[in-house]
Amino acid sequence: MNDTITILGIETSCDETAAAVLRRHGDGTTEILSNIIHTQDDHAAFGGVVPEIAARAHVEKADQVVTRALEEAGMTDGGIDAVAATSGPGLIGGVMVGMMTAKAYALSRAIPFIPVNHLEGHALSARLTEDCPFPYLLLLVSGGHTQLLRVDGVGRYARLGTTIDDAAGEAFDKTAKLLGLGQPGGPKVQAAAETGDATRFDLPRPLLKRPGYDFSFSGLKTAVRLAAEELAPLSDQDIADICASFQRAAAKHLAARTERAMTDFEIPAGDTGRLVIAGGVAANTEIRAALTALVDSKGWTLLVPPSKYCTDNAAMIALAGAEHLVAEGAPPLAETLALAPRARWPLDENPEGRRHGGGKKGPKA
Amino acid sequence: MIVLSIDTCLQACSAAIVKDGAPLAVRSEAREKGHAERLAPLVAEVLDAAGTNPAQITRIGVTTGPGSFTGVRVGLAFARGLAVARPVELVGISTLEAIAAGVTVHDGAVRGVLIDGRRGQVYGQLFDGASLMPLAEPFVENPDIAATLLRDQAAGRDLVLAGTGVPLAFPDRMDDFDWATQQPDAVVIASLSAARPADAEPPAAFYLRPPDAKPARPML
Repeated sequence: MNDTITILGIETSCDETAAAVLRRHGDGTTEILSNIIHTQDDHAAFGGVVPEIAARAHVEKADQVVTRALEEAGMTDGGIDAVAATSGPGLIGGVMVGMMTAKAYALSRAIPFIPVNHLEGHALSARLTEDCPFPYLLLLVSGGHTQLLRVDGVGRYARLGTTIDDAAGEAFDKTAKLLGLGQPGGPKVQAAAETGDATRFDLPRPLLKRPGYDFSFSGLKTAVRLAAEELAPLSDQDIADICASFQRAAAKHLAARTERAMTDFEIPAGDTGRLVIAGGVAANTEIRAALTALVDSKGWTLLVPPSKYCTDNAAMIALAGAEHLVAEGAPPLAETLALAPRARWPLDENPEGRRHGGGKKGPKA
Repeated sequence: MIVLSIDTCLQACSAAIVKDGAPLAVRSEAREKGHAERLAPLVAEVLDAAGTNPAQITRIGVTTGPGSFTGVRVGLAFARGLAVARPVELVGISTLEAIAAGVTVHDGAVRGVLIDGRRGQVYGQLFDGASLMPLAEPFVENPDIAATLLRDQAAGRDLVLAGTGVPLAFPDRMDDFDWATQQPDAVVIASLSAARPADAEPPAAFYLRPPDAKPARPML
């Protein structure tokens, strides 16, 4: 298919209700016609995203957010060629709301419905705004995921490593919760760290001598808790120092594991290495600085999408949907209307090496 | 008026197309879970069977709960999504009212509906026999309290019972209880929706129970 296609994307897998309209031209270039994100503010009192509260908020907002995206794109009376929605992994109650909205739209307009893996949206998100040819190394760091992936093309992802316990963003959230800083943890910890001494606490360097590209944040989380408990009651300076030390340790850990993956990454002859960071944690300035220094030292290029495309958004879902539509053609509507949401959906369905977060439902992501 | 009705709140997945009071197509499947997979194909089937297409639907009646939180959202998100795709009127109907309306009553009786709400509780409400007007607020209670409440509210009138919560609250009233008729009926939902003005705002979920979440406490 080499024609221009206009696609509606819907994202509801965590605490953002988002919809976007994206146009993909025959030459592969894309335009974002609208990008609406409603961030739920219902979770602050609970110290983290509560799945049932998130699902309730999604169902009250999804139709409005989609309507706004269509209005801004001038598409309320039709003109949408396909609809894509996050169908996993994520909080199942929210994913279901986005999928049902998308299925309804597709059925009513008799257009294809394309289920999208949320992680694939992140994997391709840099290509929304940057000239980012394949292959590249992707560091996906968010509240739900911390993974290193080799991206060779649309639908061609090899997971190199993942967190064996908590996600990086989760560690920020839990640190913020422990210190009573409020949510979301990332910006709160970063703000508190500004006046802190990053060398005051000697926090562990997870997996330092372990081969491979996996991550671990639970030991760091425990070390932060022990340090805080020992000092309690905490002064503002104590909190700042803990935050600064934690943030430094997290940045070092992410950079150390990414460096391993860069060292082993096969770059095609004549090309340069590209590192893409995606996910909400990519907004953290210390982490960004550590990775910038790493990339500079290796002669690679660093690509970070603008923050509105780094955190959960529907433009990346529309892009992933559009790429699949072009590559594989439209899936039969009767089949995709019958799909179930998938709480767990690894991007690389057959990853080599160890799987994490396993169990009878299979690996988490 | 062509009405599409949808119910996924309880242990069934149901849809119907009703034109000016005449059912053109009805589908109802017993289903404990998996409503999210089944609903869209089921609606496609009733549209086909009725020889209609989505553009011809003038109104959608959808149950809003109480029931399974997930089931409530599946039906509502789908109905509201249809209304995004094409202008269509939406009417939300509570599962309690839908079940009450499906009951046959004699003169002077009142309709008591009880739905198994799990966790040792039932959702319930009392409706007038003839007019179907609610006679009291809906509630979520332990079965024995629910039974007392409904008896008090009935105030001596004949109490006709329906819903999956009846065996829990009125184990002595099981003689004429029929499990097959305790789910909202899609044709009844369509009739109720057709008989009232369309909702000004998209219908909201009616959970009747707060989410399970406790505010965070200081950890140090």
